Amino acid sequence: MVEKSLEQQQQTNPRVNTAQFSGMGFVGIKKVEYFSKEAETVIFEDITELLENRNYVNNLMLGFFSIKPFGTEHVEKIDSILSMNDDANEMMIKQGLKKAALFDFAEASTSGVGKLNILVVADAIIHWDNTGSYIQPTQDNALLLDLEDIMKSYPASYEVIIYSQKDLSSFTFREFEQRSVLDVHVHSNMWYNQPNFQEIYGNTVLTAGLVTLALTYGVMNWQEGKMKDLSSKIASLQNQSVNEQYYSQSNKELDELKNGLAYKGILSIVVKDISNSLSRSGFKLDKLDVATNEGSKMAMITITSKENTHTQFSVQEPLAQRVLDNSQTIKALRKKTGEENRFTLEALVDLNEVRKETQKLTQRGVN
Amino acid sequence: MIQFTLGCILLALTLFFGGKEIMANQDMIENRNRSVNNQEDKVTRAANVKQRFDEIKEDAILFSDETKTNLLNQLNIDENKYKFDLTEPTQKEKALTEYGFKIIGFDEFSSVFNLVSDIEKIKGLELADVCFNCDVDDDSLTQRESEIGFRIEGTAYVYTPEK
Repeated sequence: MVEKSLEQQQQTNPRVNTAQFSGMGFVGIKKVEYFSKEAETVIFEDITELLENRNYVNNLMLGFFSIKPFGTEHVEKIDSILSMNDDANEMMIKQGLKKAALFDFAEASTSGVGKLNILVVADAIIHWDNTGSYIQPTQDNALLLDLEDIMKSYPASYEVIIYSQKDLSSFTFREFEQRSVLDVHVHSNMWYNQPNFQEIYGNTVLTAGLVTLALTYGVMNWQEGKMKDLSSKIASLQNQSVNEQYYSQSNKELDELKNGLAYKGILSIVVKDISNSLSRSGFKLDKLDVATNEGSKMAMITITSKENTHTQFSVQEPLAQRVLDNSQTIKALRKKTGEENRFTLEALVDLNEVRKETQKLTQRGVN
Repeated sequence: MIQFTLGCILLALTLFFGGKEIMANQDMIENRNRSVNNQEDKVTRAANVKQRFDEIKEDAILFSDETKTNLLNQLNIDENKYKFDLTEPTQKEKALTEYGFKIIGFDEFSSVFNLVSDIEKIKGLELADVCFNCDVDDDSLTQRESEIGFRIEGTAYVYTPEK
């Protein structure tokens, strides 16, 4: 059951990739040891020495072991780090620790039974198995004995992995596998100040916000420019605009004028033709009235004889026939009744027909 | 943490107010585009209408304060012999207007006929009614021997350019 729960815990606490850090520091009992990526090691007597060194502190992974002293109710985990230097400025150390990724090895444990991990760093040995993790002080001259003491408490069947940069070739108490300190496995549950979602994506979201703001400003600026352009275009077009009503009110007159142009000179031809016809027919003319009808392009010519001429009925019809025969333009002719002592004829002339005939004659003349 | 909060606030406010403003501006741009199109159509339509009148204006009488005098000169009318009336239309504020004209007097048939021919040759004048040997009631005009009274009525098309 314990194994299963540990296995589940390890699955929910994934392994952290330590390659992302520029170096690893480990807080021992009274000393601090720093391991660079090139496996260079530096021992500091004081945590502040490490935290004040800009070469080491940036992107640093700092391993420590939190201890909860008996009789205290609330203890911050990093108090274990602060307690190693009683005379140091706590605020300064806390500020420096904010820059480092802190890994609490008190939370370390293996996922399976029969496996013992030992980490030899600074002046301490940290070891952990499937039940928990432990720290004890050590010294270079007592290291092998201390390791032996730890291993004695575990059955011989246990697989032992020692993470250390020290030469352990003379340690023959039991078989073990030595790995570099840089290869130590750490899990997310050990990461004390692991940044949360907001901290990870804070800068990205802020940048996205600023970029969106800039883009929005740009788009709005472009839109304002576009609107100004369109407004000036509208104003320019309004200046160009012709008073359409001024012209469109004259459409009727325009059409009439255009139609009238085609009939230029036609009325003179009609008057001349009828005058000739009357003369040839022997009509004693008193009055000639030509009235045109604009819409139908027909003309009504009223021909009135002198007083007391052509009054006999027997004369009127042959005379009218002669007038009609002698004219090229009269389409129809009728006697106007009502005047007894005058002979009045009304002649209908199709001006359109006359125009067409005139055009034909003109074209023949040209050809 | 503060960056995340600020970024979220900035994004939310920018997207809300900026988006609203951008959409409102977009609507205004579309409206103005429509106005531009309408205005362009109006200008094109008006230009086409004007073009029709530009084409015809040579066939009409160009308006001036001397229109009547010009017509008298063109027709070679002696005002002691003929009476020439030019009636202005009621609505003059348009490009092409119809003036009524009326000439009455006494003269020989051939002269009246020549006058009719002359009227027909002048652009912008259109005959409506011609009467030979009509009754002319005007004491200022005198009839001589061999002269007949006449009345010529018609329309004068007068083009007034837009001011």
